[in-house]
Amino acid sequence: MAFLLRKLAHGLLLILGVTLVSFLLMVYFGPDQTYNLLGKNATAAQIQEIHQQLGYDRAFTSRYIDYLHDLFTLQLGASNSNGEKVIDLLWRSLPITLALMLPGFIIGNLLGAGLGMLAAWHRNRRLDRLISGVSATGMSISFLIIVIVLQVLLCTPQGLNLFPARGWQVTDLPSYLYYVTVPTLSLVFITLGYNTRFFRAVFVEELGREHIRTVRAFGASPAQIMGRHVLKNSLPAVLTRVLFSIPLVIVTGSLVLETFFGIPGIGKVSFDATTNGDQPVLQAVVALTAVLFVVMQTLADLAYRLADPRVA
Amino acid sequence: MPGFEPTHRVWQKLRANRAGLAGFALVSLYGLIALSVALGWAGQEWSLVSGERWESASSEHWFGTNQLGQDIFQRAIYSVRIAFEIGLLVALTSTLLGSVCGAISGWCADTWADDGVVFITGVLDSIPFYLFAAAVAFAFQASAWAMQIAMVATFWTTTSRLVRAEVMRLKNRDFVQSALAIGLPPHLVLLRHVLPNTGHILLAQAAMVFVAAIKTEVILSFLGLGVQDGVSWGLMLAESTQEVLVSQFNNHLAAAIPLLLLLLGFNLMIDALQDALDPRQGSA
Amino acid sequence: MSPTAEDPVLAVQDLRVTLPSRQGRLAVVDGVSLELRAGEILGLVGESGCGKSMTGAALLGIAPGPSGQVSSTAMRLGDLDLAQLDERGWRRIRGSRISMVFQEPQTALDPVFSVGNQLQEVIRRHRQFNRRQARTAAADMLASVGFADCARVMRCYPHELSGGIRQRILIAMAMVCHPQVLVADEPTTALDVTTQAQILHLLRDLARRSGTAVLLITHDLAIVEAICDRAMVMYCGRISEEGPTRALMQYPRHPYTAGLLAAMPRLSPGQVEPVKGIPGSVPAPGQRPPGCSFSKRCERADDLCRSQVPVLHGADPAMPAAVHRHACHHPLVHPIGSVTA
Ligand SMILES: Nc1ncnc2c1ncn2[C@@H]1O[C@H](COP(=O)(O)OP(=O)(O)O)[C@@H](O)[C@H]1O
Ligand code: SF4
Ligand SMILES: [Mg+2]
Repeated sequence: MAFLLRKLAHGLLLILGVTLVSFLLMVYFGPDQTYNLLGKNATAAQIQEIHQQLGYDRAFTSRYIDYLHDLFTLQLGASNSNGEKVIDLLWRSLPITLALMLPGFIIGNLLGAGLGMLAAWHRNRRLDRLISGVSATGMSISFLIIVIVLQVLLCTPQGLNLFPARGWQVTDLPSYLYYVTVPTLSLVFITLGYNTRFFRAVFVEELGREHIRTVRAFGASPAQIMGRHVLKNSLPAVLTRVLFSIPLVIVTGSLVLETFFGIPGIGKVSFDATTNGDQPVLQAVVALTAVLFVVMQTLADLAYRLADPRVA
Repeated sequence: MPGFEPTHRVWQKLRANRAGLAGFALVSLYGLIALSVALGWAGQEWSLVSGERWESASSEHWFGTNQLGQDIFQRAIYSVRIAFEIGLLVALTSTLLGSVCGAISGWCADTWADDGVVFITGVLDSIPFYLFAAAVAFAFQASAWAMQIAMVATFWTTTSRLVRAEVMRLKNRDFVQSALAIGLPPHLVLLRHVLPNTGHILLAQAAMVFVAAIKTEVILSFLGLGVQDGVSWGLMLAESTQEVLVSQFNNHLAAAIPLLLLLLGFNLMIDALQDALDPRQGSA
Repeated sequence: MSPTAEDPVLAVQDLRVTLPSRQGRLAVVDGVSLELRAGEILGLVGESGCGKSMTGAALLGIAPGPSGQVSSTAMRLGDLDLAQLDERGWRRIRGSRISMVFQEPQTALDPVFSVGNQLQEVIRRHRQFNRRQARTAAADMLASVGFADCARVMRCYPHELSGGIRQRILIAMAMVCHPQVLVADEPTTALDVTTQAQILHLLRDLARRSGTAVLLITHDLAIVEAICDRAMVMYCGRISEEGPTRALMQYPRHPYTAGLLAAMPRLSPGQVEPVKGIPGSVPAPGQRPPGCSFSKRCERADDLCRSQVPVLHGADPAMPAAVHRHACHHPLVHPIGSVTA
């Protein structure tokens, strides 16, 4: 219980920190929005009014507190470019991003775990060298290149031309598969090297522990050792990484993939907001993902406690 | 030096690692290219329109020309310099920042200074990087340094955390405790006895930041948040996304392949470095 | 019927464990032959680094690391030819017909499974038991290693138990399928003296009761003296002397055995003798001298020792089947008539 409270307090503190950073960058020191909103030929009275509205004339702390209040009551304002309420915009694009990223995220982790397992079991032998070499190469390929190559190979007349190069007109399962396949493949390729390397390192560490020698001496097969003892022991590390990487993959991955494939998810929304200087949208995305990240981190800590009988 | 593997053992291990040596050679080659561009010996005509649009490779334009008729080879070569500039700047700055903060934090563990550093690293690590970069780009609108600032601001935290852990470990070692016991001032002990022993961490970590910076530049430039005017592999790749759709692959390959080789070289080198410096190995 | 009269349950000839190195493959275990009879406790003793653990693991077909190799000219467990086994075959007998207990009870159990879970895992791997039967067998086994409240112990996780209790549980896991051979690798080294004695008595009890042959690996001659029927002294991967415990300890023939004995702290009333260690230390596998590998540390070493490897033989070459054998060119000689064992 004390642990839970400590974790929650820690999480709250971090949330204050990340919102402060986003407030500083996007609002306090951010560019003056006056002329964005009013156009070039504003009157002095209009300027005064909008300054009051935006709070430019008030003290730092009161503006930050207002900012927090708006953020947690989800009063995120409206987009500067098309006037749509930010909350609606996010609500509309989040499911698309999830649908887009989830398959690749899951497959990438499962494949990485499988390859990491093989490499760890055959540590320092030929199969391990092969897998490790390929993942090092994979990590060396910029993901922009992976995306471009896959797109040329699968989505253009120069290649197989099986899938669409851009867009997201998903209505049913076949159309979902039609649009999600190439982004999923891209995500799997982008993350596979990192995943494999991570899982290999974790499994090598676990395989080197003494209780593995014991179960081997009692006749356990490689599958039993890996599937039962290694997997359960590495659960905390794996859970932590998976939970941690969810916000990163959703945001970073979708930023590139959605921009590239023209898919209207969170990533595309943030990209457009950046290029258009659409402050309300951008600051909402930054603050909310940071908060999400802190929540995930706290969850990971809790999961750690649950998975390990020693600290329960 | 106490706590540090004898240097010759590290060298022996490094020399025995063929992949690592190949990586090192590759990186050195790129370093030479970057240097000669910086000295004005090569790649100077990267912005000159010297031919027609999309000329194919010839003795005049080794990799052909791009959409605007600029020489792709010159651009690819010049981009090596840009990559090294960004990589070096970001690696050095974030290593410096990370080692100073990490050292203070580890040396003064469980004081307000330590709590402060830990809190700041925690906060910075909680903001997804590309969004952070977008926010910085937004805040420092049109500044040529927005990208570098964003990278340093996020990359130093890992270095800081590693240095902190190592300093905390070293602080309890005999040679540090005895230096303190004979009355050497703490800041001297930290500077002379503790920090030099974190050298291996800093070296490997700086190399990793270098790689991360180069990869990040590509993405940020593609997203329009990176190199503003000029040329870089990221900008070349961004250009090429349109060109590949009409079967013009020169620009893409001229950026993709050098980028791949440089990153591969770095990754091989880093792996070898970490293997050689890992104190847990080699004592068996 | 004395157990020593029976056929051995485990007979191994010329066991070799090799590891690759820059100088080619090095033999960490170099031609060890041994026989174990039902209910017997055989001590394998020597300084650390001389290859005892490797020998023990090799008896379960476990090679050190992916590039280590185990070979032998003959290896039988009862009527089973171990030399013919593939990895699958080995897995079937590990934990069921031949078992092992390790030095560090702290780390030898999987921390994330309860004791009962781990015990039943072993049972259900080797026996066609359902959950209930496995539970009963596990509880029975725990009772026979001395636990009163078996149900409670089974629910515990390893970190909740002390070192001595964990070692008991490991012994229970090793014995639960009633193996013919138990290899115990320094089972008491990590324990305090009182617990040490309890564990040793438990091992002896189990050996006598169930007829399991025990190979007890230790660096401590006092343990050999306390519970072993016979002992083998190992040095640099080879057996330097073997024989019945009494004979070996009272009348050591190999200078290494004598050195180990002299290094043994003894509490003899009235007389306080300083403990003499053997000078030097065990050379690493790549740095063993030619001839007798003990020659660098031996007072009796001469040119013969430095050039020719001494082979294991009885005191009287005319008696090839001698039970007390040594591998030394210049063994210690004891007064005639004193050797009665
Ligand atoms: N994984 C390994 N690789 C190379 N050599 C090893 C390895 N493990 C142990 N050795 C060497 O093998 C020898 C025998 O080790 P071991 O059987 O553990 O000795 P003991 O149990 O008698 O202390 C030692 O000299 C040790 O240095
Ligand atoms: S053979 Fe020689 S060196 Fe070896 S133990 Fe006997 S006397 Fe000593
Ligand atoms: Mg041992």
